[in-house]
Amino acid sequence: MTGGGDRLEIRPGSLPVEQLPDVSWQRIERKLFAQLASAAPRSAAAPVAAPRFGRRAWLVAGGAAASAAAVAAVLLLGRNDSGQEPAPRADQSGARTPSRIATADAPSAVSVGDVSLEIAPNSAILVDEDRERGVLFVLERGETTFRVAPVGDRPPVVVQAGDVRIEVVGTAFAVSRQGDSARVLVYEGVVSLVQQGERSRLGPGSVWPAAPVPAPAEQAPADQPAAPSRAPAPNIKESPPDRGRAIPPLEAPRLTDKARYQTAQRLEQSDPGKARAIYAELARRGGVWAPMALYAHALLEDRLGDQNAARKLLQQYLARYPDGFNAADARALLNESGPK
Amino acid sequence: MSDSAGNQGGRAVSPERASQVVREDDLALARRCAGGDPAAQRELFREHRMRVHRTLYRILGSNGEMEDLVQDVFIEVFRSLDRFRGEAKLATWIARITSRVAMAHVGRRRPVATSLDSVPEVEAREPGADQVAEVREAAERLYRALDRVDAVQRVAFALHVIEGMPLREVADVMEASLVATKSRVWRARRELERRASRDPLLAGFLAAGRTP
Repeated sequence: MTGGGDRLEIRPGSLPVEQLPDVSWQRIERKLFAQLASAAPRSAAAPVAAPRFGRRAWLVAGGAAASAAAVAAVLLLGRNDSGQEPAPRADQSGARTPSRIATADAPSAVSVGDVSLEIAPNSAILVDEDRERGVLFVLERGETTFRVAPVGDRPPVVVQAGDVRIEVVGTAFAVSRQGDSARVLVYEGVVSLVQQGERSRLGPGSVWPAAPVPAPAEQAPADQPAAPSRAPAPNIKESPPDRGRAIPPLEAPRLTDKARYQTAQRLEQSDPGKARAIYAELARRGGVWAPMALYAHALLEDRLGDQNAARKLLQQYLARYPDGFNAADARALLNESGPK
Repeated sequence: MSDSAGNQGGRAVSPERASQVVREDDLALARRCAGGDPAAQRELFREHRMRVHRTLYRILGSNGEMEDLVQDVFIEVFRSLDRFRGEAKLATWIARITSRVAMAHVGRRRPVATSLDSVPEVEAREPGADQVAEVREAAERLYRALDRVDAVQRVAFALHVIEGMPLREVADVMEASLVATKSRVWRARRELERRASRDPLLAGFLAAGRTP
């Protein structure tokens, strides 16, 4: 895998294969043989060109509530503002192709476009990404924290959890499934939430839904805002940070350095300023991803036309990591740009 | 299986005979599976599951749907076993199905998030941690670049260059001629090199893998 000398070498044939844990094998075996036992009558199934038994099973028989939520949410994404339903999106085979991410006992950090997710253990989330219509996440179970970069003309990001739909511009928030509904905590920014036709706007520090309505003796004075009604018509409410109960201070969970690095990579085109800030912070903090971030930052500055900044960063890189993986390239780039 | 193939009753057997015995074993196992023998099905699954996973991993990289894909392969294997005639080794026959399942997956999906379930963060204090991180990063970039490569070319490239499978074996798995297989690998490499022109890490990978 690694060669001698200054330069890391990655030899084909020796890239590590990340083994599936025993629990995964047990799950595969259990599901496989359960399916074999029940599939005998339908042996004339689809040909091998489309052997999507796993996802098909999930879409069709993966639990009534979850499937209904997923299908409803997929349809919701396809609706335009007037509520009309456009033609379903399809890939080359004519089928929709959402992806599904499920965690077992360990959390997972994932980036989808400009959205970084931290998926809690024992959670499952459907991702349906479309360049034009935006990204839809359907939280099947468990909890996920979302960080959405505030990009002006980006298509919408929507999270569906049970019967709760959350529309996002740029923010950080966590959603957990609660039966057929959901609980939402907003760390930064504002989200717009719709449930049963009622729309609420949640600001930083908000928790939704509010605590149970307090007993009459403890109710707020008449001049305080009333609890939102469940009117069927859309009804915009501003949700105060603290809906009348003590909430522990909220602190947005920190993304892993790897997730931050990947987020910066994805932001290089759409929001280079944000990407630059993330790279700089990673490089300043040190750690495993610092050399990659510092070098990537230099390349970004070069591409943005600031050769002086790029040179300084490359020099910093060589000073801090003279034997780093990108050291030879950094020297070559400095030589190409000439002495200054 | 190799013991029974290579040494019957303590007598050495020729490679041809050993190969024939292996295929007879394969055929017998396949027939038991096709006949619905659960013990045989579990035997086949446990014997071939690691190879199936490895092949899928080589073609697709780290993938959050790996469990589903492994399951898809074996469902297709068990669905088709009654058509296995022993012309090829069972492992090769299963590899064909595996590569088709992988190709179908590549053709169907859009670029999606890479699940990091099985990619634990590396502690900075571990020796060589930054190199391990760079290897992972290079692998991720490689697979992101491969996402833009034609599915057939990708499979040929992954099996030959990443897995190290001989071209003739790749051709066998993909049921293609040797020339067509070489061409697929070459075209995939050319596309990756085009994408690597601004990515030193990916370029390093491709340079290291080039045949001298």
